[in-house]
Amino acid sequence: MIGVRLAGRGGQGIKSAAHVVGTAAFLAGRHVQDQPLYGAERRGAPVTAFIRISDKPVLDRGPVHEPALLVIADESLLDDRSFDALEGTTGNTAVFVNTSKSAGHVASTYGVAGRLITADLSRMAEEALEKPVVSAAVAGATGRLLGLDWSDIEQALVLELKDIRVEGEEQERNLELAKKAYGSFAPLEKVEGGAQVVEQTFIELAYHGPEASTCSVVSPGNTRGRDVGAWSRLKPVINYDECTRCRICFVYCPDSAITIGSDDFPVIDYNACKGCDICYTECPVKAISLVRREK
Amino acid sequence: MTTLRDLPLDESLASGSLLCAGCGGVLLTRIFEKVLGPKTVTVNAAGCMSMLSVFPFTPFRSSWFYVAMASAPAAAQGIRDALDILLKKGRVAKEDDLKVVVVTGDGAAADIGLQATSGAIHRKLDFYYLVYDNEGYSNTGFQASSSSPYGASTKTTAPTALLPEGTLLDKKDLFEIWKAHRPPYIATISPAYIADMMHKIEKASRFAGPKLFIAHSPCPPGWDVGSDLVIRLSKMAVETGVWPLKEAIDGQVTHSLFMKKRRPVEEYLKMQGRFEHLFSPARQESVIQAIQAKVDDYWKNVTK
Ligand SMILES: Cc1ncc(C[n+]2csc(CCOP(=O)(O)OP(=O)(O)O)c2C)c(N)n1
Ligand code: SF4
Ligand code: SF4
Ligand code: SF4
Ligand SMILES: [Mg+2]
Repeated sequence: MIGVRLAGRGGQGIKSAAHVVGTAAFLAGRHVQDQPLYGAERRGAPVTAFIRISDKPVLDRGPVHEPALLVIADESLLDDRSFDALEGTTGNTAVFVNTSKSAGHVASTYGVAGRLITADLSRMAEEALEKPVVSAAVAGATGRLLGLDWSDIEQALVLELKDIRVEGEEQERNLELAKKAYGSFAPLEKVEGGAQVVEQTFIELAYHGPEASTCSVVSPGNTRGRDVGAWSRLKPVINYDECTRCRICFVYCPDSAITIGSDDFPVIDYNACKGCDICYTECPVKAISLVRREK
Repeated sequence: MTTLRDLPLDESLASGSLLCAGCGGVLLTRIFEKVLGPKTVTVNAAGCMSMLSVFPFTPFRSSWFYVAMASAPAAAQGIRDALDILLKKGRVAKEDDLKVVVVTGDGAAADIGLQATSGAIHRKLDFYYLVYDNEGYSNTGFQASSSSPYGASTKTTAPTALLPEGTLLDKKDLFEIWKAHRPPYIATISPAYIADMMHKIEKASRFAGPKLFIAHSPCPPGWDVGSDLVIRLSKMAVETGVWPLKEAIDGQVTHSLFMKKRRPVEEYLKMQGRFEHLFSPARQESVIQAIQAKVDDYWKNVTK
């Protein structure tokens, strides 16, 4: 049994990548399971998907907590304190990180245990598709690391792309991207474990009163402090020489990322700003510009 | 509260939720909570806004209650009744009373929750009801709801060679359905007209009974529009006459904004990917004309 966990951000195509790899393994005659973690994932928010591959029927369910292979499609997730990207990794885990940096740099910056492999799939995707959708590249890379055959990956990818109505030239470009990513790696030696085939057992559940299912949170507004700044690459910056203190930006910011300071000027909290750029568009005197966020 | 400067500086809805950047519904909920103040209990039917709070995190500073998609107005009734009983018994002081606010999507409001809404209005339940109308089932991937407009592409009504126009049915007129129940206050609102919205929420608070709002609520991924253009788009919806701003007090309708000249609806449609098939690869003139005609037909009889 091999358990794989993929982590990325909404919009990158992580769910599709997991589905392609799962389908490819299925086409190769293995028993598989692949699923995204369904929740409030939105464009830019952390997204997780799981794959289990085995020679026997897969009876495990739910998240893969201790993956044999962990694929991190967005380096910034390693920096996100509210998202435990490295959960369950040990010295034996193979960890792939999509980054422009070297493996040594990533290992020392984020304290990654285990075998670390890196490659810049985002650049490959930008070059091939002119957009940061890495699903095909992640599928190619993950499939190769797991030792799957290219023909199975290719067939699975065509099925997936057809399903989301990507055809013709766009389909070709995705296939080429996947192939390029596939060709950039060697299969991992020994990826095993990460999930176990459990025998079916029945568990007696003790009775709990209704309060057990009625959760209450008495820490109102506690989403505040969650860092959503990595959702976008650009951030709005206010030029205070131009700002007329009209408060338009404050009024329209959906995410309560702008506060009005004691001097009546607006202040942007970059941990709270998702980069919707409404403030940039609506500022009547164009006092807000968009600047690339430094990592 | 009639100018933007009157908008309270305290945030009733904290940052850090996991909803999309530029979500119209989040902005509307934030303004609503700000104007009503901290003494509220928000009842959320399943939909995108119910994902604001995912255990153990919540952006709400006040009480929040999550309930099945069909049942928000019924749950609001239960909460209102409980509060009334506790007030009567003296177990809740008058100054600690809470306003009951239902926040639901159009799918919940126009489809599965319509009968619960009808029941609550019929029983004259004292509550606020905010429908953020993103014209589809956004939370599950933007399938069509009965509030999706004619000609829009959704997950379930994508244009095909046989049915090139996208959604074939007309948008359900919730305003008129509610009005037939004769509640004291109904208004349409828009995130591009925040002062109007603030004014209407305050005005509504003078009435006992159902206070109902339906809001234009751009959904960047579902409508395929850039998140930075959300306010522009809502403004365009009003200026083209697609989204009339109005209120009905005891059934008497007045328009909050009456334009002598309206922009062509095409300008609104062209801003959104969900209408792209009407313009390319070939222009579907008859569909565009039909949409324009529906808008013209609405305004034909409007005098105030
Ligand atoms: C009875 C029921 N059916 C289906 C669902 C799944 N579901 C959750 S949210 C949602 C969409 C709701 O649409 P809407 O009310 O318009 O809110 P939006 O998602 O657009 O915010 C659906 C179908 C559910 N929770 N309950
Ligand atoms: S909208 Fe522009 S001018 Fe107005 S307060 Fe914000 S930054 Fe200043
Ligand atoms: S970009 Fe959007 S989230 Fe960020 S401060 Fe501006 S309005 Fe708020
Ligand atoms: S899908 Fe649409 S309605 Fe839902 S959170 Fe995103 S923008 Fe808002
Ligand atoms: Mg909806």
